[in-house]
Amino acid sequence: MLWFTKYPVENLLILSSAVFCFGIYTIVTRKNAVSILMGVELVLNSVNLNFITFSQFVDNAGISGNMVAIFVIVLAAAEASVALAIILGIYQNFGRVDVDKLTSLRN
Amino acid sequence: MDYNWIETGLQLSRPELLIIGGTVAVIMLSIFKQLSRTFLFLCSCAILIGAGYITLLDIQSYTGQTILFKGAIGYDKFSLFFKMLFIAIAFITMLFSYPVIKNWTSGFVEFLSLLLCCTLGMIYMASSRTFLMMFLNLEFVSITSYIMAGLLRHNKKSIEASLKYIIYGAGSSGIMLFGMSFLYAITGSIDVYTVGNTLRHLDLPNSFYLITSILILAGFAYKMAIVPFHMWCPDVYEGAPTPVTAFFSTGPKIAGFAMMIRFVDGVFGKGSSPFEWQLIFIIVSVLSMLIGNLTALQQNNLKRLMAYSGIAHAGYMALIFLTFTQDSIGSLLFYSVIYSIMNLGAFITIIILEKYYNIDNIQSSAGFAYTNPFLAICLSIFMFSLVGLPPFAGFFSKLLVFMSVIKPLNYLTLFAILVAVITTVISLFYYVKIIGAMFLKQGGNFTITERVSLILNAPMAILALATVAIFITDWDWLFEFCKSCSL
Repeated sequence: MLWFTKYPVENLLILSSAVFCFGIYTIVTRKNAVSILMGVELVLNSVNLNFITFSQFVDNAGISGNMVAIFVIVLAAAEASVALAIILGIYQNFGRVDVDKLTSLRN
Repeated sequence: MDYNWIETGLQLSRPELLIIGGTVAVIMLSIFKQLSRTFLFLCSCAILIGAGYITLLDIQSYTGQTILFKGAIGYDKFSLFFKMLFIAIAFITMLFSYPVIKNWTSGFVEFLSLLLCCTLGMIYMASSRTFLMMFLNLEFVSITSYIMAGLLRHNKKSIEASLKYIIYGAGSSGIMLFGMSFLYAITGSIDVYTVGNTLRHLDLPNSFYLITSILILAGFAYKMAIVPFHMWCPDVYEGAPTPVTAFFSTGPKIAGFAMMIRFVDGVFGKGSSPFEWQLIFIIVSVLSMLIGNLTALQQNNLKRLMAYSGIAHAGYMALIFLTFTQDSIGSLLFYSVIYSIMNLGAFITIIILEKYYNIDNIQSSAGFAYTNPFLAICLSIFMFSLVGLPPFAGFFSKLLVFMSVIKPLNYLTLFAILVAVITTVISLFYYVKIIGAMFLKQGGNFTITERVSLILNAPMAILALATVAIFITDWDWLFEFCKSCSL
């Protein structure tokens, strides 16, 4: 038996926490707006992993976890399209997409 | 198979269906170039009036609790109350935004249809009962808000506000869903009331509740603009078109509170609970009151000032979570009605100042009262009401929230109320600064290009009258009504 099949839930949870932390780290540290969007996608995908894991391994959980994951995938796509449209607008106005260079509002 | 639940569900959600159909109709009608903008505007107003009328009929006759769509949506007086409130807010916003948006080169129909969509999302936010519906509707309102903030695509401020909004919004709603996934892990259900019932029979460590509560609060607090997640608020309020800002400061914020109330009611239950989750709310609300009011003191831009004042008001509203009883929920409903009346009114005055006189900060409004005394008096009424001074409605809303919080008197509630009262006094300074600049200082001459539109003046006068009238007349029925609508 492979080592990672011995504790399936724990391994999956470690994976999803790691992805979540990477996502938050990306959102906080990156300056490029598209990179920040990638961080958001990572966070949402870690949520998907969590829900699918729990739906599979928790008693009486049913399929609601899987349903949540499907909806989150659709929503992530919608959000990404809106965000990319806004980033395009930023590029047209400012000529670059770095968030630390946006200073037309105070602070 | 039994499909009755679909029929019942659709029958009881007629206002929502009307708004959905109306939004599609408005978008479709906009294809025909020969239809004037006034016609599209009147169509959208008619949709909201129709939806409001149906809701009004429902709310008078309905008592009890129904669960629609297999537990996804709760249909009770609480959700009907917020349905009514959100439709009213959207209607007033649409009314006074018309003189501003009719001159836009692009984005006119988008504004109308997105406002209708956002209203629909807020209605569902107040009535959703499962984690999935909560997340979906939060995102529904958020995504429409991102687009509304960036409607002026060639305006640097507007598009920058939109980007800041989407970065904060997407991040914090992801964090919220991560927290919810742990509640799902423990209980195996996404229905808030089932989750609460299961949790009550389990003996879980406090650290579990602490971590999940903080994670989940991220999403709600961002929508309510409460302190750790308030950074987007001043920038978005300043950058977004002013009618949109007026809408953001009332509608989505109150919707966040409505959703939070249902969530807390389901998962933790009313009154005291084994886990001291109220501690988090004491910290959060005290911080929002302090930071909101103290930062507002230094602001010169009117919209930025209103943003910080909104953060402070969210802090006062969040006080009710300290004692989560039927009375305190009722006082929050009362507060949200009064808050939307005076905030929308204050934003109408800001719109007039910006559109006709080109004033957007306190300094340049010096001596304005001699040019347009009517507007200056209305603005003073709204400002005094926002402080909570006696002859205006804001006094009662604040008083009722404080009274309901102080009922089980202990050190924590006493501390929170003390901070609330002190920060209320501080807030007097910056609200009065605007009035002082208008009435007491000598200023330049203000030229006006055209007469102020009646569609701006009339709602402003009516809202100002309402602020005074609620205080003078018998306001008790309104509070009783709010209490009967609480969960």
